[in-house]
Amino acid sequence: MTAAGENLLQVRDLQTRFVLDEGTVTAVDGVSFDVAKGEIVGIVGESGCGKSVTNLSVLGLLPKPQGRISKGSVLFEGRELVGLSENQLRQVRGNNIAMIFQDPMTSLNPYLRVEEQLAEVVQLHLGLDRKAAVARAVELLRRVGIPDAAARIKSYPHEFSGGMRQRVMIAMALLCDPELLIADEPTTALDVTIQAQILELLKELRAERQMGIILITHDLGVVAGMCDRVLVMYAGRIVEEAPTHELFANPQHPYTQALLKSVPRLDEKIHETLFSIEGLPPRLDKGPFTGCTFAPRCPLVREACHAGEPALEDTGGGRKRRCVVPVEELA
Amino acid sequence: MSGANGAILEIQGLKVHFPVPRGVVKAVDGIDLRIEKGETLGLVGESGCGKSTVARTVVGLVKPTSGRIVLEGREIQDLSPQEMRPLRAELQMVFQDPYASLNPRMTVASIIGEPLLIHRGLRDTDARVCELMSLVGLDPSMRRRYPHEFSGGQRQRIGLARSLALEPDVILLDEPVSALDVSVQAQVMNLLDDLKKRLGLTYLFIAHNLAVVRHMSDRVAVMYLGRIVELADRDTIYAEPMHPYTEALLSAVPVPDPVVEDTRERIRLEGEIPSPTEEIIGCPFRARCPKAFDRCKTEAPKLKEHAPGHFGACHLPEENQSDE
Repeated sequence: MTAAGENLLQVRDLQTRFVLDEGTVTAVDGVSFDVAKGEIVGIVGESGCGKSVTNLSVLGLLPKPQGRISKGSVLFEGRELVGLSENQLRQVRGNNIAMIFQDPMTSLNPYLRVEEQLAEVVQLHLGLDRKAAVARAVELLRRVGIPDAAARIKSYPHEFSGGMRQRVMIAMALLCDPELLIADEPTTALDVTIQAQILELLKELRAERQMGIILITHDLGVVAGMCDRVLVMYAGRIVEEAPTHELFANPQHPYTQALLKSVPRLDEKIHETLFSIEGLPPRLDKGPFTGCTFAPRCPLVREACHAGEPALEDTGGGRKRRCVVPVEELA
Repeated sequence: MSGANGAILEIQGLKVHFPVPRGVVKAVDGIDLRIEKGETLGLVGESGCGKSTVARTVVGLVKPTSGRIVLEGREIQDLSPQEMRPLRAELQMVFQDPYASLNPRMTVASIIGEPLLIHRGLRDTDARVCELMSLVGLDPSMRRRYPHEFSGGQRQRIGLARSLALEPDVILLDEPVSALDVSVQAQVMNLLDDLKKRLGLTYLFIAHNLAVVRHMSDRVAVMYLGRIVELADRDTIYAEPMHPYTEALLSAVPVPDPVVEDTRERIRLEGEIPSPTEEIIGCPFRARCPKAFDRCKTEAPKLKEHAPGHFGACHLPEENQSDE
């Protein structure tokens, strides 16, 4: 990465709560991380771990009135986003931070031609006239690999295949040249051959525009191929953070280790029995918890794990872990 | 393949065509499959390739356009729903979505016990329900609860317990683990393996995840646009795929290892799967195939045995032979 190091996003001690009929759920707790220009940061974890809520918090898109940021700070290029008005946030989302989601069909208006939806964004945020806006939209559709873009822009969303629709979404996200792209499971609904095309496209765009990308996924294979750095989340907290190569070569948290071992791999010999983590993640509505939330499922659990929540400890080389078991014992 | 008598389920020349306003969707377009007793046959392919339609047709949820389905020596493709009923004790299906396939208003005990009530007329199913729950790793004391009180993995276990109630010989598993998180996915895969061994089951295992299929299957069939393009035993198909589509599919699967990912050559498929209503002349894969040549445009390759037990529908091996 050429311009790496220049910080784009700084999340500090983020805590997000949902007030529900059943009680208050702390979905994200004490999450801190940075994203630099041109960097792809992966967030992995299983359903309910808080990876999507973290990013909805960054974007100011929490469901209202149940969800709110109860603590912490989100700095984008030095500007505090927590506490901004809906209008100000909309400006940021249009011009600086863009997002793509798993299912492009839910993010596109089925009643409007793609042209309407794309041109509207450009007119609104860049102040271009209609003709210039359409030209820009066509240019971006071409860039993301939609054949015959000038004609296809007249189509409705349902007239595109799943892979093409995701390209339309990416084009839409790029219209205002965002500095940061948040991609939440962008290829989960796609077939593997199409997934490979979309991931390749994201990498090219990062290189071309020095865009920072947060990639949220449950697929460790996607992380391995895409990310510079990875955050592993469990029960609303970051349990490990590391540069991608280090994380896979030498995981420092028992949960990361177990996750890596339980995925069947194409390039490995087949084991009779797959490694599996017994039990289930804790239900966050049963919190607050004392001690480590992974302790009930952890093969290395000990007395100290129940004493209090382990702190996120800096182990050097850009690595952090939230575990009391000495690193040597994990090998 | 071994003698003709080993097959517990045989599919011959199966076609399932759906008429739609713009033509005909050939969801399944002439496939042959034999599943031997006690084996797991994996069926892989991308969305829309017809793999689920195969399973739905076998259990009688969809009527075939033509072809034969033979279960334990008996032709079943023309049976009425009433005539199919007794066969439920031999053949069961488990679906992908453990949320959608369980009735939310029924307790787990009545969901699992229902087949026993309907097929065996049993009023008191409690003991058997408890036994089935233990078999799939659920705590029988939870049998009075409702599906929403269980996690995704537990719900998939409930579906499995229900499918096992009548002690079937064959289970068709349609994406049984794809809705589950990785840690839970491994648990359910191990359970399926264990049940197969203990109960002597035969599986048709349908999935899009090639690593999962590899782990579960003895033999693997790859489908593309309603046809089988390659079929071989598990180790052969993953180590030496002969069809360019299988090669591309395998090369597209991300491997959870950055060292491998950084150095790996990907076969990039251009384009997309053709529209299902499109009339295809020649090989269905040719529009995306990096190795297509003239013959592929005019002649659809037939599924042929190129090495013992290794079937492929591709002109390339013959082309290469004539070059030599």
